[in-house]
Amino acid sequence: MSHKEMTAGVQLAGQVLVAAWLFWDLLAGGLAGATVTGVAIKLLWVIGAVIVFTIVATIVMTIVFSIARGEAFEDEPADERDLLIEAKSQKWSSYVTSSLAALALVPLALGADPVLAAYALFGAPMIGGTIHAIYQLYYYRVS
Amino acid sequence: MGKGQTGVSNTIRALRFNAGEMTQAALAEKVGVTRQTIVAIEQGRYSPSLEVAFRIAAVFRVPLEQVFQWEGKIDE
Repeated sequence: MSHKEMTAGVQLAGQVLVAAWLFWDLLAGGLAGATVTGVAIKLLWVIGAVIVFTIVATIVMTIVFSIARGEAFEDEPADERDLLIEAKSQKWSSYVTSSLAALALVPLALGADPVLAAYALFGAPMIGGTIHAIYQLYYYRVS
Repeated sequence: MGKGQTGVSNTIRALRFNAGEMTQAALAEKVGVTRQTIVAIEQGRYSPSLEVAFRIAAVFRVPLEQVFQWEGKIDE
């Protein structure tokens, strides 16, 4: 496993944690009486938490892999295969993110609670990021 | 051709053996790619660019067609 695959795995773990938190939050009545401002602030905190989680988990996993392998587990400069895999993964991620972001307008157009649109706007890049990480892991295995 | 396999086969494993059991890491460093890329090329999962293909051939001082062979078919 390369450092880039490990990073993709960490990003995927972060997205799974966010999905689990969202599910728990909705079950715990996160939508009840929620305002757009309140939800936006909450989701911004989640984005911050994901960034911190990704940085910390990457550092911890790098140390763990280095100890397990008995040598420094460093990221190598990207070569043509890395760039190709990144481009392919980014393509799918962009399709999903832009499609879901556009769909986020639907509840607003139907006159639904704008809080739902805030969740949809948050979910679009999160799901796009998940697709990106999954495709990276997939392409590193098959190509 | 299996899943994830290209139509290009190669003799890199044999060439490395003949070059004094050159490691994949050593070949990667000479060619200027990552070891994972050499592994993927050697296993036929990734077809390199022409430039990398020529670089690999140059490392072993052999013609390109001795390293890579096209196994596909062209429809007529």
